[in-house]
Amino acid sequence: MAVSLEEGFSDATELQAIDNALQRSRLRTGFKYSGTLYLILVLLVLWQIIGSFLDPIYISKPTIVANNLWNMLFGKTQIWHDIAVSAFEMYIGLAIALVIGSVFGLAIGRSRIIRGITAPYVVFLNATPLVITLPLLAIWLGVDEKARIVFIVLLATWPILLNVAAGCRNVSGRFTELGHSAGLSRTDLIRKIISPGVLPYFLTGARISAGLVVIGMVVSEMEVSLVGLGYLLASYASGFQTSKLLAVFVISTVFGLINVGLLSLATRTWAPWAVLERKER
Amino acid sequence: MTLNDDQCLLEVRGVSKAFSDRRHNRKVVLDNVSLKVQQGEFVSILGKSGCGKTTLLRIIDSLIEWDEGEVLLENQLVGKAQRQRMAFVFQDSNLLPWRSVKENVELNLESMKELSSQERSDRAIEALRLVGLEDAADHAPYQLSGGMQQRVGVARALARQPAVFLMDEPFGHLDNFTRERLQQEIGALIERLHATVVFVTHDIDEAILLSDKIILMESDPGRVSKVFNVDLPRPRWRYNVRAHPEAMRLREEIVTDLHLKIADWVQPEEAMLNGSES
Ligand SMILES: Nc1ncnc2c1ncn2[C@@H]1O[C@H](COP(=O)(O)OP(=O)(O)OP(=O)(O)O)[C@@H](O)[C@H]1O
Ligand SMILES: [Mg+2]
Repeated sequence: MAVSLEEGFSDATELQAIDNALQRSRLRTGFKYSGTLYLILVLLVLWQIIGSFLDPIYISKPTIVANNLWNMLFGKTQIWHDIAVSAFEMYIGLAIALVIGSVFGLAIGRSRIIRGITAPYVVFLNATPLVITLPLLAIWLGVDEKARIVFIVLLATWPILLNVAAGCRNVSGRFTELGHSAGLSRTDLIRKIISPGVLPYFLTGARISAGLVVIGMVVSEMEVSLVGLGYLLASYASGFQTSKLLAVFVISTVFGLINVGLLSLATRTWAPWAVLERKER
Repeated sequence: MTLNDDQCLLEVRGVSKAFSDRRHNRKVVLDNVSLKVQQGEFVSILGKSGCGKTTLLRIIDSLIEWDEGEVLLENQLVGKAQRQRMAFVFQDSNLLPWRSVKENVELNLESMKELSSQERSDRAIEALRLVGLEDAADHAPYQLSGGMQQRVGVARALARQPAVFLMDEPFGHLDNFTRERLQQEIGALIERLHATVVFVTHDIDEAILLSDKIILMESDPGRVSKVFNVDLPRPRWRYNVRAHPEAMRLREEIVTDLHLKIADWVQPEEAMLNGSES
């Protein structure tokens, strides 16, 4: 009987098949982005061609934009100071949002009482077009980086808060009972089950926020600033300097891409199971 | 440990439990449920969905509070020490996705401070070997099929080396082939280890195949309606059991009993049909 039992449990082939499939899917992902790259090239060429027939004030041309970009970064009209100001506001804002979002998200996710009290406000604030707070913030805090950072925080906190709260509830619902039956203490439950379980939700929220801080930075600098990328965008726009405008636009976009890319990388490094689980489904 | 005369390992005495719904209406889910489990016995709790089987198992493991009655393990009220001697196997395998298979098994040992990490690891590997998954120790849960995941759930309980296994429909979510295979394999394993098991199911054949004793539950409120002893020789194999006269008689008896209960709510409808015909 023992023999038949051993036979019954032999899954070597099944495991092998799983490993092979995984190997194949890893190989395939290497080529995933090549299509996107070709598309960008095609679009750039099209832009160049169409741009040659139009007044540069409308859509300019990639070559001119690139030239402007070069000048802004390494030439005679360098804008590193504005880039630094913008980056500072953005990342300080993101850092504060990460902390506030996680703390409140955990509190709301863990405690039914806190959830009950705050739910209407969360819904209300999340649905409000927060741009309307900008003039108010400027009145309260003055036309400087304080107002802008507060605005960025205001914008970027929500995705983190909502994701962490949802993740916390989800993980608690799925695994609390398991933890209790394993005899884990309260701290162990939080350390070994809640925290790792919430991590991918936190990173998802952070990824959305990392995109939002760029928007927050640009919008707030357009309104309440005399420096920064947003200010440059606003002033180039009012001067019809489309090529420069687009060059600054490219820089802002690169910030957005870097932010989202870093957070994706962080997710893959720190919470690989969340990524892989999704891919296999 | 002092055991009383009938060598009763686990005892549930007059347990009642009511849940309150959103409108604060009390709904009695368990009403005065009592049962005894002997050392080395495989006891199935059989009943239809919603009759409170999971709730009962949760109460035995002190995972939720209850209103009346008591649960004793080796004649002691269940407390921290007793809970460490029980292991729960969940309806869905409930594996932590950020832990490897082996680390998932170890989770169940991490509250046992007397174990060194080496001992934990050894126990986890041994438990995985028992369910035939030692090769999968370093895999991630999502890489395993549903049947394998469920076996990891069983291994996680085995690693605890508990006095009692509490299994909540461990094969309920599996496809037919995998379920039959696991019933056979896990059944044989439990037989070999002489483990004591409280096993929740709503599958009559599963209960007959695996159990020494079947506790039939009725619902609304959940009560013990009847207890059947399963006098079938071991080791049992699905096809021998199915054809065995005693098993067939038992099955008949359980089904009759279930239908007698069901008849209460079938009859009015039948009466209506008959009425319209005449
Ligand atoms: N936390 C809870 N709050 C309110 N009602 C609950 C709760 N848990 C269970 N119930 C109710 O108690 C009853 C019994 O639930 P339980 O999960 O024990 O049933 P079960 O016999 O395990 O069913 P199944 O076979 O479907 O798993 C159900 O009517 C359910 O709605
Ligand atoms: Mg259940």
